[in-house]
Amino acid sequence: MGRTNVLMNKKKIIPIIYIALWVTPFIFLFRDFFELNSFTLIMDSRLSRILGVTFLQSILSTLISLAIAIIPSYYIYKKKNLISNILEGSIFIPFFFPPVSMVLAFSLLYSNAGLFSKLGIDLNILYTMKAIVLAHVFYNSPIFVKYIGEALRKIPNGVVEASKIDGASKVRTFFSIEVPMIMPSIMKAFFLVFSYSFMSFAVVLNLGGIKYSTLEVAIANTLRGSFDFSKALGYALIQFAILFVLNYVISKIDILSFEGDISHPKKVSKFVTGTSIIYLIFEFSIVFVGVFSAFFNFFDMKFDISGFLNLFSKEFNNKYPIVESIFNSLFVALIAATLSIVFTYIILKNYTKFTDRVILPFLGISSAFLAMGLLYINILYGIPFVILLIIGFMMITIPITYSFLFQHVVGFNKSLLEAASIDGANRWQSFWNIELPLILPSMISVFLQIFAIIYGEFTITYTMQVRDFFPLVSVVNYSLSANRQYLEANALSAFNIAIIIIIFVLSNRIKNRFYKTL
Amino acid sequence: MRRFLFLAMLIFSLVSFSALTVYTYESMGWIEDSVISEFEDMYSVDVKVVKLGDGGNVLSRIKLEKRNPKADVVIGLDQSLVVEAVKNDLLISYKPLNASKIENQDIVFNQNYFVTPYDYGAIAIIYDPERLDTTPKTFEDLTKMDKSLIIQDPRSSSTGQAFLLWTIAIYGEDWKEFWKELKPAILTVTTGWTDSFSKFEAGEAPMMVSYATDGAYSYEYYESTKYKALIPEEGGYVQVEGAGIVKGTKNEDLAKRFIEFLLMDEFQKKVPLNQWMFPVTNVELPESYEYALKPEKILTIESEEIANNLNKWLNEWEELMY
Repeated sequence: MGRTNVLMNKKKIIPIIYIALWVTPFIFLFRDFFELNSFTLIMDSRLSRILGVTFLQSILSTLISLAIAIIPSYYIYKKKNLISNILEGSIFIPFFFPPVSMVLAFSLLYSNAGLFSKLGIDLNILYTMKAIVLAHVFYNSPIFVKYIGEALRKIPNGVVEASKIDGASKVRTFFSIEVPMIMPSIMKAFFLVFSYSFMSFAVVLNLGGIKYSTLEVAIANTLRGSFDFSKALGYALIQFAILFVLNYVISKIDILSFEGDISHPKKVSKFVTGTSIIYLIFEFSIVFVGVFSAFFNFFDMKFDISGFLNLFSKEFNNKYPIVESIFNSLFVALIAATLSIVFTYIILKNYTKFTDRVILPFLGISSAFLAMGLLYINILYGIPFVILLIIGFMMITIPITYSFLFQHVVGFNKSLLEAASIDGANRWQSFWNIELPLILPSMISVFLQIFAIIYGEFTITYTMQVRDFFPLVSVVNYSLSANRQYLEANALSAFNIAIIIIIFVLSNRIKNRFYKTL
Repeated sequence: MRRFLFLAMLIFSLVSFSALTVYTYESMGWIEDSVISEFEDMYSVDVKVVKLGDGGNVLSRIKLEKRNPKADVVIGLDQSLVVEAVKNDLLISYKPLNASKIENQDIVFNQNYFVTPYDYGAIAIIYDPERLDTTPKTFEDLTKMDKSLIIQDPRSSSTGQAFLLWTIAIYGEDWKEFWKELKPAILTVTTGWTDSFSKFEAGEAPMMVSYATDGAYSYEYYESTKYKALIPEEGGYVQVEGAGIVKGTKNEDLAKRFIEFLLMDEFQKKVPLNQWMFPVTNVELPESYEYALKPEKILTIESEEIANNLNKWLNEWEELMY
């Protein structure tokens, strides 16, 4: 008993180190700028109004994303073809597709001067709650598609067959047997989507407007407008507390593991195929318009590639460090993604319920606030930006890496390791010769996805204002827009999206090739 | 005065070769290409220009750096931002030796010279004449338009804040009544000018809050005045931008010389076509400035009044807009 307690305590050390890493940057800000008066002032009518809007849009966005994702997930479950591959690939959207490109695409499609309006379909949804929800559904429904699709695939065929033999229809089998079995995965996805909608910033600000301000918008406005760090800290703590409680409830639900044949019949109805294709068109029309606007002027209906030509010219680079920023971003993403994978692997190898409760709520911490804390450390102690950026990116991606790697590490077939141990292999030999070769493809795939997220990250980079110290591609892109270099800014966005799409295709190929060889 | 300035330059160039760090906002980056080298040659020093998003970011950074200042000079604080900077004791008061070069002393909005003005420009409504049936002439006319105006959030944008102050300067205590009437005419509120302009250019609304020099910009770059600017009959509100010396600087003398440099012809003549604002000294304006509007009647609010009320006004505005 005593030995078990010691082991459990040891397992808690790594998550506690993670908490300490998060808390450290805030300590200095807190020490020098905290005023109790401002902190207590947040408890006014404004807070309840902001909270009301934040909850309403998050719940609507999450429920509609879930509803819209069910059929495409079912398609992924049943089919393995080009459409299912593209459906799975859409997971890059929530994690990378730049909000700037999404806002531009929404404007080109749905504004009163947009494409739909020109075609006589007067949607006129911009700057309403509908626009916020639609944008969140676009952004976040791929998370449900991925989680639900992957979980369904793992259901043993025997369970489904038994239900059919008992006379249940496909729909009844789906809702009565399959959905309850994958409920933990749905709940995890629910938490992710709810958190992202809850903390939404660019979408709410650009497509909703001031009436629909969320807590994250309130934090940013307080940091930028009134410079009241105490008040911003108050909002950030409330946001964190809400997401912490939600995650705590969800972490009570156990992930189920199944055994048995998982090869499923490959037939789906035309309705399922048609609906999945319509979903794909909705998702990728926005991506396409965002990318295509880099070399096509939708208002004049003319091609214009001058932005691309300028982008890599020496003269232009003397003014805007495009090439340098691309290399810097690649470098930082490489190091931070590697650290994130290694750190998360160690956390997952020491997995307990405590880990779940500690790691995932950190999805709910404002990146802008973390960046402000890191910046303050640079100001006080002169720690180079490159190191602080790597730490910041690692911190914000660990919860995502955790959720991506969870099944691969925690769900690893432990009997293989036990067999190796019986054969006399030590821990290192078991890891090197058995575990690593089997989980390496998944790790590489997750690494590439985290790499892509870091490559395009904007909030930390922008808040730390590193443009003149250590330029990164997202903030250089912002400065292009700020200086009215719109063509070049769109071209750089398209270039970045192309890099990310290549990375995601590569990561999916590695994963699929691995599964084929199993 | 010129002799003093020359003497100061001479003494400085003989005794010091330090570097100067200047903080400014992103779209002021042109000074690096066009004009900083002249100052560097003048004093045999290196100048590092650090660009930090918008004016709010600049203030936020010097506030964070109060314990350990890294900047010597800060450029781009307008009437409202200066209030917060002075309140937080972030700047040194210094009247430049060539302050008399400022043509209109009324624009010296900070009489203690915590900042020295280097440019100014009127806030205006710019519009696309092809998409407006009737051009508004007064603020009251603006309230009759439906979802036609894009404005900036005064909590995050200096242009947005200037627009709010403009309406307060016109309506005094009744400004909230005016905003209630204006609300239906507003299509959306953006965080900054750049977002507003891209939405305006995309044709989402026929009008936006911008600057009176936009006509000059349009003429200079497109040789047409596709977009026009208007200043309602009630009068114009002028935004004045200034530069100040950061408290705790280790290069105070050099920083003083830099403030003076901003009033020299070498800098001032570059302002119109790069900053798209009016210079504060008497330098020749380019031809395109014939299309820039100058308000016939200028409205102002005392800095002290702004200092005492800005937070209250911003909170009231937020309440109104929800």
